[in-house]
Amino acid sequence: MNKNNSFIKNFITGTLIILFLIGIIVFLIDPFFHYHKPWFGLKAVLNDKEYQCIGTLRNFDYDAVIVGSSVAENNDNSWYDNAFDCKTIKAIRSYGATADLCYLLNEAYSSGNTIRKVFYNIDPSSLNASTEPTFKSTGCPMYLYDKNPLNDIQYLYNKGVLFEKIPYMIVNSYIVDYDENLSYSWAKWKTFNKESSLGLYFRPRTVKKMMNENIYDDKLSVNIEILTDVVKMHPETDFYFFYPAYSMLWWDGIYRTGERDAFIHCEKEMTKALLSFDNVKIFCFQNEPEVISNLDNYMDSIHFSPEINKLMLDQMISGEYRMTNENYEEILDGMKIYSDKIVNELIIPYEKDNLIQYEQVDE
Amino acid sequence: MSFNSFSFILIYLPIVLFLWHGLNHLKKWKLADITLIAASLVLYGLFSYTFVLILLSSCFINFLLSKYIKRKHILFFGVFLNLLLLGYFKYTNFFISNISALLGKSFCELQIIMPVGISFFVFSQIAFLIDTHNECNGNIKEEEKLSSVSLTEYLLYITYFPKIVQGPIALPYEIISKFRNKNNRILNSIYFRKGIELFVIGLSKKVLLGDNLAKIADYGFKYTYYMDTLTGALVLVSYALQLYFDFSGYCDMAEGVSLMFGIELPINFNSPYKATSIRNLWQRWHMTLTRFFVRYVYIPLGGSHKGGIRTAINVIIIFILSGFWHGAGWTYICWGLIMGIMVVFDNLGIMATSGDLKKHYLLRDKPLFVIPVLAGRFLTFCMFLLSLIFFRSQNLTYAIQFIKQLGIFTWPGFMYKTAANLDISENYLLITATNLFAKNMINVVYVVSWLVLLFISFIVICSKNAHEIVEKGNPSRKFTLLLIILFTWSFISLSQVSTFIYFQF
Repeated sequence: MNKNNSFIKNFITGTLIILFLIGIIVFLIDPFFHYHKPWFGLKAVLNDKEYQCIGTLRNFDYDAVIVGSSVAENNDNSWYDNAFDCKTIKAIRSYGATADLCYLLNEAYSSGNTIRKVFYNIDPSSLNASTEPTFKSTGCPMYLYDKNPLNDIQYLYNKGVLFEKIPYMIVNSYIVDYDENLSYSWAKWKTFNKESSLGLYFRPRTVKKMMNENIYDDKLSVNIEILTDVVKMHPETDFYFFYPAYSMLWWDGIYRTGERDAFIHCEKEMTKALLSFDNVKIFCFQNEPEVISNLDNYMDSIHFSPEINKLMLDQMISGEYRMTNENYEEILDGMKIYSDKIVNELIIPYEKDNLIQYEQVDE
Repeated sequence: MSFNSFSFILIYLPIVLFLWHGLNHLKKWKLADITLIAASLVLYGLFSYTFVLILLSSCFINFLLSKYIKRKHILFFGVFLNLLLLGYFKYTNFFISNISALLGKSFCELQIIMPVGISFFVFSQIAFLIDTHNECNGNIKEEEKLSSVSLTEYLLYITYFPKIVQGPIALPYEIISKFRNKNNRILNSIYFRKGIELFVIGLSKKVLLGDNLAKIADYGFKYTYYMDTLTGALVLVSYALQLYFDFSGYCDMAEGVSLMFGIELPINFNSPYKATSIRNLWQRWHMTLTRFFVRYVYIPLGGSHKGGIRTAINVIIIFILSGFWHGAGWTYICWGLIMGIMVVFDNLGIMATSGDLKKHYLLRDKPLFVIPVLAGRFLTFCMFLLSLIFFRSQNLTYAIQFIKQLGIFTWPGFMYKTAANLDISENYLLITATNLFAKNMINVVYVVSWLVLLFISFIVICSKNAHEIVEKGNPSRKFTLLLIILFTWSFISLSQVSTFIYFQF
């Protein structure tokens, strides 16, 4: 065999061997849990929701799901596991759009696990969000979401996976004492206090006229349908929905953009639709003055500390703030009244002390 | 679909190679040609099928014109049509915005999507028309004669996928005569070995060096106003290296792929940063473009045969055209003008590098000052670097600001911020360890990583170039192993984990 042929043969053979080894390593360690749950005593180190959520929902063992946006990430799974005697997993999606969360929920139902309980965080903005899943349009790695084995090559032969994710998983599993209950939690890198929340709040400069409350009805009706379909199809599951405790700054903001009435209307409509199912319990933690007016609980206008996650769970367990067919309108109308108090009373000291920053206006 | 993609390496290339060599092995020459044209159009069509329509229409018109090209006015008409096509897609909005600025009015720019590689295939078609015209009139060298070219051959010449998107700008005889030679259609292990080597070297230049340097260069040129002197200089060097690794890497890949098909493409880069003068640099950088302008513009304008001033003007004309060809913007025109002036300066005879002396200069027979080769290389690189400020800046204001930042010494510490863009997977363990054990050293680690990347890049450009390596033959086991590592490293770099900014909730 001449030297050229020998080179070609050696090059192809050598390359195939190395590529095979790389593929096997990624498959066995599988830091995105695309193929299986952790092997070799590795822990489920979860910190990349766009990459890992879908795989964990398909391949892990669980019987309850904590569903929501970033505000649900700081929940400690063990709180729910102990309180409801279940094994939870998180289904998290940035912004928590209904279509995205329901896509993840449907994946959970298709996984073969029997889902007994779902704890679903309803962000107000999710009610008028896109009615189509946004994974593709926001650049999520679709090779992990679709079921096409051919494009898995982007996962198996991926520098980031090999040089970053695998070492990170190994170190967190064997060297650092990683707590699997804190999946996707970001709280330890953030500061929750008045300065931080005010520093990240950029108040609209003008107060717009309150919009018609039906302005989001088109998207709302589809989102209600998407969510109620999931509830309807799974009568064996107990659904716990809850509206999280956004800070008073958020309410101030939507008052000034003129969206407050529309958001409250969306919540009323969604609540009404969900309450028609026997397997649904809904809680509203929005109208909780001690929490939402204390800016030390927040890092920005929305994101609260893990203590608030725990508080909401405790209140859910004790049945406080539960919404029923009889009281849901009163509760949400109460929120409207309280938001007036925020705007006319509670925010004023911060204005006087010049602690409020205003949005930049484009020239 | 680019060469540096999974789909090209794993699907497209193996299938097309198999079809091409299989059909040629069965002596189905015509079918092999048609298959290659179809495959090239598929690859091109993956950008947009509208582009395929534009490409094919222009091919058919040019081919038709070539049948009557003996007459000069048909040649002018053909060249004009091609320039019109290029002008419409590439320069319309440039002219609209300039006329708007000139008249103080605001004319709406058009929504024009420029077909990929139009600058390359238009020039190839112009080359074909002119060469055919010259051949018809007996004004062409013997080895460049093609006699009658069939439509299939013409389409092969224009659409041949290794060169359609980014060149090189091959001359008709360089491609067509090679396809005509049946020996080139026999699977040749030397060509195949060279092809693999060139492809791997090109891929790693582009993916491992060019793409990483781009992270620094992109950031630096975006935040020109914040740049301090030293950072500006290093950003500029990073950009010069990125530009070279990116384009020459692509050309190496194109030539490598083409060799696997048995077709040798013209060399486009020959260690340009080893050049000892700007004139010499343009004999080594994007060589096929320089050749195009010399052959079809400079020589018809009279070249160097009409006196010193005309020579200088001709040089400046072709460099301004070259700048304008690179991009529709005043920055490119300025860059071309600067290059032209520098080449004219090299031709004056004031200063030259030993080992690169001409027989005759514009002002005198021998240069006034002769400097050593190393000094010549260093000065040439520095001058080219400065010209690149215009080539890369988003507009002239930014370019002038960049020069100011370089000229007036400042040190506000923007280097750390720029270096932090080198947050690459290869660095991950080092960065994580530094974060854990010496957090205050993190900025230093980024800067050192940047310097290491520049150092590696310099070693690469100072070493033998891809062609010199490939021509050596007899690859050793060590070299084979090196290529395997480079290939797999580049291969896993084609897919990466993106960072979703954490608080984009």
